[in-house]
Amino acid sequence: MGDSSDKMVATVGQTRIDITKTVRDIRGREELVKDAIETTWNENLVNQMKVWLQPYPHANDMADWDRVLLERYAPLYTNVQTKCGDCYQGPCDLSKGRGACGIDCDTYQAKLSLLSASKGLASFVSDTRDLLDYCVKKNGIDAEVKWGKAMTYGYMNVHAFTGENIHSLADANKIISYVEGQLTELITSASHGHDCDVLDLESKVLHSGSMLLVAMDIAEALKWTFFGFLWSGDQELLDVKDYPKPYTQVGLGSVDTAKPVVVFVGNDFIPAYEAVQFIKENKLEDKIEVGGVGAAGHDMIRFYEPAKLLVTPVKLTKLLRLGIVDVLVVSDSCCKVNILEEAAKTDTRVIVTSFKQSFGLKERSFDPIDDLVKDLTEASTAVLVFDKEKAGELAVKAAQKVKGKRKESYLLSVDQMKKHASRCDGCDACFRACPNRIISSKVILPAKDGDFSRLADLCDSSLFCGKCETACPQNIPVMDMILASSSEKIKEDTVRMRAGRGFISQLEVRDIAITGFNLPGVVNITGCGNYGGSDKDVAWLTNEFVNSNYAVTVTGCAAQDAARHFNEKTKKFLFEQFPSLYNPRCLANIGGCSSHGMPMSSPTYKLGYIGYRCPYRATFEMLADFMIKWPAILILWGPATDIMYTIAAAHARSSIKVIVGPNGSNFKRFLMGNKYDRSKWWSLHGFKNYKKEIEPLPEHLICPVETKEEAVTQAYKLCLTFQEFETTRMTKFDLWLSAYKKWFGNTLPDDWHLFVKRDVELPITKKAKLLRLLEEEHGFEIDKKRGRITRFKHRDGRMLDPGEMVEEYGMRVGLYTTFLPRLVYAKRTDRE
Amino acid sequence: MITATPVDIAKCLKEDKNILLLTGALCDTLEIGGKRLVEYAGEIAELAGIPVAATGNTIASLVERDIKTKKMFAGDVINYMRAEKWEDPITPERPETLVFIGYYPQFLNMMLTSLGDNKTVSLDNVAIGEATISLPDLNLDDWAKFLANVIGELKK
Repeated sequence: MGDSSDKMVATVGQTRIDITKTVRDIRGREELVKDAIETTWNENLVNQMKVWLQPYPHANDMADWDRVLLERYAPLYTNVQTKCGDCYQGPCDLSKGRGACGIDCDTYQAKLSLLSASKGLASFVSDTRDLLDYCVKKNGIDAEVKWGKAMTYGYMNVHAFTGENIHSLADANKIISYVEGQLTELITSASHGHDCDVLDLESKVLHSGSMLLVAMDIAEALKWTFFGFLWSGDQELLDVKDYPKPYTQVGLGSVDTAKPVVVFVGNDFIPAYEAVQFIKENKLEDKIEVGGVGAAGHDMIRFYEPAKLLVTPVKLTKLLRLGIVDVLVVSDSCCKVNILEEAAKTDTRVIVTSFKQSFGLKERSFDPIDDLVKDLTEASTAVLVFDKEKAGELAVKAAQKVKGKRKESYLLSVDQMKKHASRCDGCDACFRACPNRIISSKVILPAKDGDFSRLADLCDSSLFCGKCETACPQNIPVMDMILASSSEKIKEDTVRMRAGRGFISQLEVRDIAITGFNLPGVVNITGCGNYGGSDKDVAWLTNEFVNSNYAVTVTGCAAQDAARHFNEKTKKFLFEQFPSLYNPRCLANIGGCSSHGMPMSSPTYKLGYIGYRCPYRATFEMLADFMIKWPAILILWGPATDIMYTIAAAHARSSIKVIVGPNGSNFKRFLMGNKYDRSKWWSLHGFKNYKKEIEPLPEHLICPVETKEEAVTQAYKLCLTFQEFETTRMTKFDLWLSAYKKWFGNTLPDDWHLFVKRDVELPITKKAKLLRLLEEEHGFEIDKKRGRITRFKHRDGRMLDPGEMVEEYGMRVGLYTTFLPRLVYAKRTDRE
Repeated sequence: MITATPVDIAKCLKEDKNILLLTGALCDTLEIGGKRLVEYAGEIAELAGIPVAATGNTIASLVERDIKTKKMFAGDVINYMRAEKWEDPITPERPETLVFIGYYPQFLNMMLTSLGDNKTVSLDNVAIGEATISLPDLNLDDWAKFLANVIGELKK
């Protein structure tokens, strides 16, 4: 058995396994692989299944799993671009045939898809590298990375892909270096002369998502270890349900404009952290108002309780035009490129801190702080300072100086608004340019007579993207008019939420496991604020799911809008109403962008191990194979950046179904199944290794919707799985059919009968009607007296007894199933 | 892309075989010429005798009309269009002409670009290069008149 030294043999119980046969290339990984097998595999498993690990994988190492997904959920390309100019033999018009290099249109779309995903990954990895380097400078490479007292298994995305974990900055450095290497490979694959198979390219898109989750785990680990971020992983479980308390104020009305106001925007929280240290050292907590936008804001509220969350980054213009910000500190990502121009309109001073977005400014990190303060106060409106400590101090000092030097109000007066409105000629160019189709001459013209109500109504649903102003031939400042009209409403815009808590503990996962898959599902709602509708839609979605007994988590900028639901009866905001747990009928805010690895993939990997002893170290394919039966949904409401595209890919690869809201429809591609093609819907019998037909579930992996009602209905349907308890199926069926009926004209979906395998699964309140329809419309045979199905009509036309139906269609509970032949159980003969 | 007149649109709706009208989410919320966009869509479908894939939440407003209509998800329609075999999700034969009204612009762009060489008609008030036929850029009042004229032509 190869090298028989103990180094090359893992021992599990009485069984010895040659580890050289458990990975593609064992060199340099001997200790890791041996340890991973000995600590997470059990003897039964090693004797019945090929032991295979994929530590530090390349995309192609996961091709088996990726192909399972991509062959079922074929890429549907949107925003198709037919002109390829990637090489010097182009440009080529691919609508007419292949390009000069042989590329065809679909392959080109796949390359664009990979480029998009790679950009999202690059953006985050770059920030994580900056964060890591900062931590190393401050603490040394061997500094310990903490595990909280509730963290039995550590950082699960890191585990699943590398087999290792993070205990020090050196570990973090090693893992991020791996991710950076993968990023280089992915971008190269997307370039001319490289990968040319659509599914290979899309497999790499999925891989970029997985790498993003690994990087996110590292970012989270560093944030709580070295910056004191809130972290439920270090709390007693009994305290978590109210952790943290819902003290965070959200909304423009929460800002105390009597004080100097400093706002941080972008992906980098460190300038904010340094500013807060300065504030605390100088006892300025009551004297300075600190707010955040985007990831910086969501991070800041996790280490500074008085910080406020103001707007989502998409609506930064709204904040700036309001004129309440004295100093804006800008890093990168989530930022509009015309920030300086917009800030100048309201005399807002800007401090730029990022290497990746410098606005053409000259670096001033080495200038004395007092000179910078003076300059920012009296001469320049923007400075570039890469030194984050200095930037933080500068922000606070400059805001104190600038306060009082700016105007009291930058809003249009009533007369100004009337004058602007009277210039409207009714062309409706604004309407045609508006991505939400909410502004028009019908809204503007009444303002010339002093009726500003229609403009005020747009305050929540306008994206403040500025397309209306750009389109208007009369140069009417539409956004300014909306703001001025809604200024009173804005003053009342204050809601309360919980700051992000990070980690989901294994004890909460045990609670979920105890519900025994009886819960209707788990859902994570995220997004950037690019909503096709009102800010309140996210709150509506959150409220619907939590009241349907889902385990609901929110992440990213959508979390702040999730808070916007106020229960008139209980007089509580949503976060005040429900416990902050990963449990049914609970709502937890996990955190900003870097928290996306926490609420969905991580707990499910733990569930796989805790509930089913599925090894979790360097065994992503096994985990994903298990997770496809888990009713987990990601709602991407209002994505605006490439990171969101990559996040969608990450979750899809982990078998988490992704629903994208209307303004995310310019995703490069979706992954959608075809329920009519029965050849696609199979699972392997886990012992006998043959394909069994299953229901077309889940129908899609990444799909678009237009309305929030569609999002909820689609989510209910996608949470149906092909192997679940009767009561679970009944609950989910009821939710789905009820929602469909409620919002879509008192009808039933046309495919509900495809998911009927047992009559006991039919919702009790609808059973009589459904039985009648099964008989009349779908050819089933019914015993009306007993209310039972006596014969089922299989999709192939055969009539089957109930017992036969259970055997022929779907997977009965208790039967092990898999999608990967190597995971089929078989007695191993190659064990000692 | 051809920008059409009401006569052109009505002719297309009357003469093209295998047409499918898709009503988007904005049909429920947009009001022009004193009525909701979904009412224009319903009238057009009735007069032209064409089936309607009611996406978004529009089915509730269309189900009472004397038209063949079904709640569908817009993404599903595009998905079915690319399948080799047409499985009659709404019409017995694969549509050769798809007519869109009331979609968020990004959503419409997504659908039009996915449909490739299929004939597509946009009834929104924006000249759209990705559609085979679209209306010219119109203000809301002219849009209402345009659609009313299409209906008038269909009644002839």
